[in-house]
Amino acid sequence: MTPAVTTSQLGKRYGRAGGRTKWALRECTLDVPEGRICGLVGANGAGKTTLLKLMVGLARPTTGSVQVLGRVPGDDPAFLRDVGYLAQEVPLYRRWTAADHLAMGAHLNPVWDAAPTRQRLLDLDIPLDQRVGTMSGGQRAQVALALALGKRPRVLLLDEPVAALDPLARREFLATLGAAVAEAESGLTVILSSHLVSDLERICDHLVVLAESRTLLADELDDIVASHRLLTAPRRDPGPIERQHTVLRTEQTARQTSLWVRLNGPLPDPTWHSDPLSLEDIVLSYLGQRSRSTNDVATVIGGVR
Amino acid sequence: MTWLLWRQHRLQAAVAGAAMAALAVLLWITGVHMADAYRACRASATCSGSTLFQGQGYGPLQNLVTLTLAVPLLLGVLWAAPLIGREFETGTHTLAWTQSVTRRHWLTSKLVVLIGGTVACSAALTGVVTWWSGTLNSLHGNRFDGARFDTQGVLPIAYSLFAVSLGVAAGAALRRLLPALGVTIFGFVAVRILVEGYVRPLFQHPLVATFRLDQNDPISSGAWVISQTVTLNGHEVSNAVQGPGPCAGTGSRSQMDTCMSDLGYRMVTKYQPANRYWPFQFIESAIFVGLAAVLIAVCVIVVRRRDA
Repeated sequence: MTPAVTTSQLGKRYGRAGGRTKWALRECTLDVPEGRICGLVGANGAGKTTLLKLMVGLARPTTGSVQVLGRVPGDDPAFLRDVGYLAQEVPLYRRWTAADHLAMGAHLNPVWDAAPTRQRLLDLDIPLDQRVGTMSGGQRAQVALALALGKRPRVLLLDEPVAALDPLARREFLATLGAAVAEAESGLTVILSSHLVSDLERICDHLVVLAESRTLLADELDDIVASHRLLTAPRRDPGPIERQHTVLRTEQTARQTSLWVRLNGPLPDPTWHSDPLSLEDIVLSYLGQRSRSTNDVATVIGGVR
Repeated sequence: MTWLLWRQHRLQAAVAGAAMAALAVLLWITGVHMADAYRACRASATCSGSTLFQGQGYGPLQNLVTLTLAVPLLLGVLWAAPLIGREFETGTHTLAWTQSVTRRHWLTSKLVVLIGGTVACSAALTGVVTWWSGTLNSLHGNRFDGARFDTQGVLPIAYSLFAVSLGVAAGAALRRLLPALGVTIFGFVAVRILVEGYVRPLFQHPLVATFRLDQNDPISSGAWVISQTVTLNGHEVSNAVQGPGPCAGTGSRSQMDTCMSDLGYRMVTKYQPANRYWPFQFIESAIFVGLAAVLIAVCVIVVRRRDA
């Protein structure tokens, strides 16, 4: 399957050479196959926003490369036409109505789904003639999503779209997104970032974990869940497991040894008790591992590509 | 883009248009009246030009016309600084840049509309003001010094271009509206004062006229007089020792002037003659248009290079 988005050793440093600089993203290598809904998860400041901005061409890479639908993101109408983007702060012209925003979409895009976009907002009881500055956060997010979907993008990039929404608005937003993906005839690829795994679990089928500006994990959701296990046994040396698999987290008590493991093959030793891990546990074990140790994590992502 | 720009800026366009129209009507009515009165006055033998328009309520109007000095700054503050600065401040530029319009196209359209609107607005303004001021220019025999020079001719257009370029570049570079407004106001006022006070007198060497105190001023009307001093044998005499001295008690003022001139006192006047009016207008305009071009280039580089 062709990747909709692919990055290679992608890095972004902010600040001037010579002055204070900060890597917002480092050595990020990943593929997102076409037609997936990909969750991008990581703690605040992990580089999620930077990665999405690099994908939509709002920022330019310092190192490495990124391609979206086979093109380098940039100031190119053919590229922009195929990519929808919703920034974290949901920027809209506050004094404009929802209808004004839809008119803008119609005027600035060669392809525009006028009637369905309008209907989508009406179905959500969003008054088209009300200024967006006076709308609720949930309504504003829906207007912004409608604007991003109206151009019928092939890749849709959403930066923390539900972070500021209450649980009901959050559910409605994800439902709208899910419906839009189902309606899209030619595989729509969505990448959405969040620091809440539970949101992503509901809708995504692919997951990328970022921490401290590096990629820790990128794979199909099902494969991730299948390949990560919690191994427990009466206290013993975890060495044999560590040599063969990737141990994310170790807990030793006086009587018991617990290992959070990414399996790199079958588990030969049946004396270990193997339990499934929830997605949240898996993500947290990656993020926790990262904050405890600054070892090179290339070994962790080595199996991804 | 045309639709977007119209939707975003139609209010500003309407306000500017209405203000311009109101001013044009006001100046047209009073201007025609003043021109008629001046013509009638010159035709009659008893007319005194110096009192012609006194006590008829023209003072505030004259002040209003002088205040058009501030119009370039208003355009820079109200139109130019928010044009890109507010988009950056509220993040709406990312909305515009992720439609199917390139950043380059977005920026070019904005700048074209800004510069076009500025030229149209300031050209209309200076046209009306220059025409209205014609009567008073003739009456006072001068259009070359101070606020007359700055509010008439082509110079207001150049000032406006400079102000809006400064505003739009400051907004783009600082990405926040309030600091951009500060830079626009401070920068415009500073450059204007600097050029008017220290650069404009250097455009061409001033002419120097030296004449006896009892002679009539030989400088043709309409000149810009830069300085007038009294000298004795080529050395400047300070005001303190200028008193009548040995000529005290020689009688009338003109007799005293003759006495002092015989002793070697001369009046020395530095001036720019009236026929340098247009060269000076064009030289100063070129300076401000040049600065505007540099600032527009800065704005383009900042917007195109910088990450959102």
